[in-house]
Amino acid sequence: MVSVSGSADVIGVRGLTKRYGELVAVAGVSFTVARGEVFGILGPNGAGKTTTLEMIEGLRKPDDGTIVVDGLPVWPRPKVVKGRIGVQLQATALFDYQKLHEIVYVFGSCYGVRRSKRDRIALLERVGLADKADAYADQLSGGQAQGLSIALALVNDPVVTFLDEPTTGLDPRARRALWDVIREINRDGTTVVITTHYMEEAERLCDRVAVMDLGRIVALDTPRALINQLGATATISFGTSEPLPLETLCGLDGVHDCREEDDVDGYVIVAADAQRAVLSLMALAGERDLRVRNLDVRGANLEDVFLTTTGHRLSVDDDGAAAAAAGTSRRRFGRRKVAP
Amino acid sequence: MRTFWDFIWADVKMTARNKQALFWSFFFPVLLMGLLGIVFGQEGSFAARLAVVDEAGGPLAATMTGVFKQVPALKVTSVGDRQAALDDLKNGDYAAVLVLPAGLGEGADEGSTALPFYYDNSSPVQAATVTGVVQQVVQEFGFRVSGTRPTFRLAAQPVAAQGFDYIDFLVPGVIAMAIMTNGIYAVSGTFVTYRQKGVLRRLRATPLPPGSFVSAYVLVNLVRSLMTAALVLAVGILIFNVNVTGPGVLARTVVLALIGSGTFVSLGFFVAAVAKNIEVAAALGQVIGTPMMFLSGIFFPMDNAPRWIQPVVNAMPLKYLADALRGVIISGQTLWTVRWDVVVLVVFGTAFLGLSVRFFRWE
Repeated sequence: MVSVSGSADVIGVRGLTKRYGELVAVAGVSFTVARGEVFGILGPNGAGKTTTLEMIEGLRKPDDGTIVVDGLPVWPRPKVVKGRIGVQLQATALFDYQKLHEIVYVFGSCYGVRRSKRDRIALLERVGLADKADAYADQLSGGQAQGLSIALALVNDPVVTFLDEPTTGLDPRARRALWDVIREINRDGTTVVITTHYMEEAERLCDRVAVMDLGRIVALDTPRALINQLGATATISFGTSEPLPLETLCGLDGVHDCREEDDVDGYVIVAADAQRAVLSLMALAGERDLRVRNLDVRGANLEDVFLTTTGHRLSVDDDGAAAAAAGTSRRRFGRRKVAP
Repeated sequence: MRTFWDFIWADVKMTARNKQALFWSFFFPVLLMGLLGIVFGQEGSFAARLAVVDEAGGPLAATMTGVFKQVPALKVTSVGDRQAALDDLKNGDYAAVLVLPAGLGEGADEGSTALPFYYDNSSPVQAATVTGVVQQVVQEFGFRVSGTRPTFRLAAQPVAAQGFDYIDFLVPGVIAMAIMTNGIYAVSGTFVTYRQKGVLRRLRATPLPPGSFVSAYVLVNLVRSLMTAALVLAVGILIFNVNVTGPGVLARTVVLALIGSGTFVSLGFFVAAVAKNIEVAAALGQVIGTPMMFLSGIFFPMDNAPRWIQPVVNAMPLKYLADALRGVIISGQTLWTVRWDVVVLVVFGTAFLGLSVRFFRWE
């Protein structure tokens, strides 16, 4: 689709606000999305990601703020913009008793795009479902169903497509397959806006990430830049032959935060400086004649960015799949030392 | 507009592939009609109603009336006036009228006395049965009186009456019932499922006006109801010899079926509007549909139901559809004759539509 504005930004959002009675779901959010990028909105459930997306998609009327998509204001008449964007909603919309290529046809028809069957199969090919063109939607796996709903988000050749938590509930393999699909779509020239509460997804997939919490954007940059802001931080986990008081651990040189952790049968340290923290830990072990087992030093990731900027964890309310996919595990908070 | 037709075609395909929908829409009404028709439609299961007009007076006529009253296959009513009995026969209240004329039994030696006998010929099977039974009783009675030879014979006369069989009663009722279930259950089930699955929300994210998607579905639903009505009527006529009378009866039936569909599709949207999920929608549909099915005179006339329940019967929109269809299909009435039924249906439909628009949610 030829875009109306030649501007580099395909989306401009300013002061976007949505209230539900007392609750402020989105509290004055502003950001821009550049043409051709994969823009991620990372945050836990209830952060306001979906509400933000739905206001941009023209499904929910904002209480305040302006949204411009492809040079056109979305509100008060969202119909024009609806025709230019692609939408994948959290709940997958599927008709029973319709074959995949027929569903693609009907949804295309909603946009005034009537595709030939060959064309429909070509679109399904982009999400790896060409061989399922004559299958019914209820015969698809979770990952395939999400693939179909992404295909429907491309049915009108949109300038930008919105994917709302496309990989939620998928197993790691299906999730990685879907990442490849999304990368491919982006390579073909479609701007992608994606929400997720998986930090690994944001880190691997997105050119830029807006970290969202409690209706606000608390950080926005490339994943690398966000992590680099944390300095030489790392997460160090280990077990010990004798118990250690948390006060002592947290007081070690280079340590930002520490806690007891059942999953590793020992402790986890968030280090402000990994090198100094490891050295002081080893010194402590030598002093007390302890054995340190299963020492694991992991570089910082977006999870740590979220933790540092908001003071709480990203995957609190999650079903554990996120943490598992991210290669981390559920932890409980210990005591925290205020960073100097 | 082309999108509208694309949706119509999609809806047609989805309906045709949905075995369950096909069963409830087409097979079930025919099955129900067939079963009820076979079980209750046979003559003899219901005693034929016979009016006996005693113009003779005297002990012989009284004895003869008494004999008829003891015949199990007959439900005998004594009527004083021949003309009144014939009027009722024409209205379908009786299957036949037997007159015991003045001078009954006199001059028995000179031959048999002719007993005027009028029967409703609108239903050949019933006519043959009742004639046969009455003939037999009259002959036996004659032998008992004389001992050797028949004393009485029937002077049978067919009367074109509006009398109808149980199956005649049943067919318009089943058509009305099918229109109701197509409306309430199909519409509420479909739209609540679409809402639950987020189909409605996804469609709202397209530039398509929501009306075109909804109206395509409604149109397909109306056609489905018409097809059900046609099927039930065809089976009724071809297999059960339903008496369809009057010119233009098919056109009138189509008009009534469309109006009734409108009423019950609106009711279906109302159910979809207030039901949060598919379980609630199904339960609510049953709560509304089941009493209506049994209290609207679909399977049995409600005239004999207790008086206290009549206000409930009169509050059922289905009753008006069944009455109107019955009037048009069986009694050959015009749309003008059944206009008040139509008015009530339109009022109900408008009210349901208003409530649906007020309460319907897309997500």
